[in-house]
Amino acid sequence: MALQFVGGSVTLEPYIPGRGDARLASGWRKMVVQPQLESSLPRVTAFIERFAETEGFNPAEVFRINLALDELLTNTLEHGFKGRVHEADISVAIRSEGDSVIVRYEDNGSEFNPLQATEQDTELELGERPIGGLGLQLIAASFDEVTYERVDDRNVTTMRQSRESSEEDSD
Amino acid sequence: MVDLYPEYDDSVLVLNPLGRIDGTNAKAFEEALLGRIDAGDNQILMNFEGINYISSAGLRVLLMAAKRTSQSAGQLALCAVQDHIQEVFKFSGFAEIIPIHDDLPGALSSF
Repeated sequence: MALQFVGGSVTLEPYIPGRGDARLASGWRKMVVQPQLESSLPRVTAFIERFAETEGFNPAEVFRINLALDELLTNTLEHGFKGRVHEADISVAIRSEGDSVIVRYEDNGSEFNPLQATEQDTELELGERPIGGLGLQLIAASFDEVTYERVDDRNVTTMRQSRESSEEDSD
Repeated sequence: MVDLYPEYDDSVLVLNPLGRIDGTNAKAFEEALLGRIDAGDNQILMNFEGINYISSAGLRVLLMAAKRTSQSAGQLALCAVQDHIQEVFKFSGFAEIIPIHDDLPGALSSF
């Protein structure tokens, strides 16, 4: 696998897809994420914004992607590497595919499926609402499609959003 | 330290935070906001005009503040929330439990 550094991001060419999907062969922009929220969050945000600018995304689309990655990264760093954060290998990849944008988040933390995270009852009254636990639910609500798979020692979360439907949303 | 740019309109404390509320500053935001409540303010309006990003870490703080104010028969409300942030309040169900007003004058008249 050839690694090429482009403006602080790493481009993988060709991309090795998790399930042999030939359409995922190229066009990815990818970055390695350091396991430290204060320094990484601004870097991830800037990386997504650079991609979004070249693709002409609207601010709502950029926000949605950044929020999802923020929630995933925060969760990984809080729970994924108890006592072995030095082994962390976290990456973010993004590409356009037809009229969709695909965002792929990977970490080698302990096995965790964000789609099976405890569902918080959003119908509860103020006094009954538990504090926290919302972040991962926001991801599922923000994208057309979210999938999770455990590939070897890695958690791989893939989010897909149709550009057309997000344009309608932002009207 | 997060600056909340406090103002008073009679007994209503209007806070005007700017920028982002995320995992990197949520703790400071929590201390600043709950500090105002501990100091006796319980009618609080958060003017979100200047907030362009909030994650669940920030939502958590708002929920704590809303609970804290309601315990002393007060209220926490929001106003002027940007569209993409409004979506987060909708998805999370917060729009059902924290009053969100379109603009500052309308919000103030609700207290």
